[in-house]
Amino acid sequence: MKSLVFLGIMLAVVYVAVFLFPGHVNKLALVKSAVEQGQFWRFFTHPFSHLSLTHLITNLLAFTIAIVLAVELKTRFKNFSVNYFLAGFLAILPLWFLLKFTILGASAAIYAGFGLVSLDAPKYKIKAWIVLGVFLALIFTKSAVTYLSLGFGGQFVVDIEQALSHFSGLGFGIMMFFLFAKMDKVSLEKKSCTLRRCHEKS
Amino acid sequence: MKRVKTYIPGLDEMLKGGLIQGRNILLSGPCGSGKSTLAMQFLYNGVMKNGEPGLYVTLEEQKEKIYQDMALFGMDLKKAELTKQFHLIGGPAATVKTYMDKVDANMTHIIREVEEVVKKNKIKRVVIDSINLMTMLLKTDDERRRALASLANSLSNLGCTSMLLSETKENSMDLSRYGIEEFIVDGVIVLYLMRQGSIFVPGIIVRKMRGSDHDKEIRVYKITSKGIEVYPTETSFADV
Repeated sequence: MKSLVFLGIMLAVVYVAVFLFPGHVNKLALVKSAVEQGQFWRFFTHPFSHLSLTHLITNLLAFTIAIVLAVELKTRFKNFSVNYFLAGFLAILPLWFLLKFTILGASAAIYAGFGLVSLDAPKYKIKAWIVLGVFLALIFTKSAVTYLSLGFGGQFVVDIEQALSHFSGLGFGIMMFFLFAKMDKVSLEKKSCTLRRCHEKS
Repeated sequence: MKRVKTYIPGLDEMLKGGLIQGRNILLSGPCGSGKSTLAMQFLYNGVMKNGEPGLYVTLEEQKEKIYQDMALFGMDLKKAELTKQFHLIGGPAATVKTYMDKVDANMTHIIREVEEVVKKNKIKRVVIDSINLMTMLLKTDDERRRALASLANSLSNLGCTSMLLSETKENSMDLSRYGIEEFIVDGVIVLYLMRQGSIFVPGIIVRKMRGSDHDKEIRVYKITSKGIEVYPTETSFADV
């Protein structure tokens, strides 16, 4: 628990520090033209950069919720952190290669955190699909409202791109949940084979 | 209540027909008293005479050594193994401990493994040789008590009749090493080596058998070329 809280505080400090660094968006965001010029580090730096104060505060709040959920559900620090950092870099990659839109911010990683903890909801007798449904509603409501009020236009494209990157993060988190579950199962099987292994050796 | 015959000459008479199915029995005694032999006879006879699948969990010896030792008493464990009804798992405690450390396993995993083997092979008779070594892997008496209770409950719930072997100190009248084992099990059979002048006379007593009447005197037994033989009418007069 302490490790998760420490991770949360450290990342929040880093996000704020990067935000205070002048010109961080131009230097860190995942922009098609910059990547084409060979600035491949942007694949790793974009989660640390936030476009505006609102973007930063929204993400910090969402990140706090993800950390609190992980602490409540006793998610392992290793699982949460591996999922979070990998998602930050990997979750949006397929989408970016497909659509080549500019990406910045930690929201994909945060949604990966939500994806990971969502499937642990049955620990508290809450159905996982209800929690996932809430997150899906959170992800797509804004773009749906934009479409209904403004139709298919520039703002809708921006909103749906953002929603898709969040969705990608959520999906990545779900995938990681199953991967960790599989790894736990393999590890348990290995541990529960001690006597048989020793018998084979002897 | 259904009885499970041990087919050990004389012992079933002391037990008034055999052990009660699904119960855990603590078999304790000092080094060299024949605990492993008696327990293996219980298992081997179940397989060969009654077709009941048996599991021997060892933390004492290597498989080959056990097979060689038991062959001296006419128990052909290789043949029993071929029937797919005799199973032996485990190895020397040091090897088990090393492997446990390597894969970060604990007693819960060991118990889970025993359960898995029991379920998979529809085991009816189980021997754990020995619970001293098994519980040595734990640090506190509380942990030992919990692990033993968990193992005993688990085996009972799976319908197994089990013998849990416990080594007592030489010349001791204790029923078990830690003094907690006898409270967890349903029955206690104790083997004694009683001094009579310059020799030790083996004696056996059924100290506790929940749900069943039993012989309450110390009887003489011998380790013969066919294994343990109990003389259920002979009383030992050794000074114990």
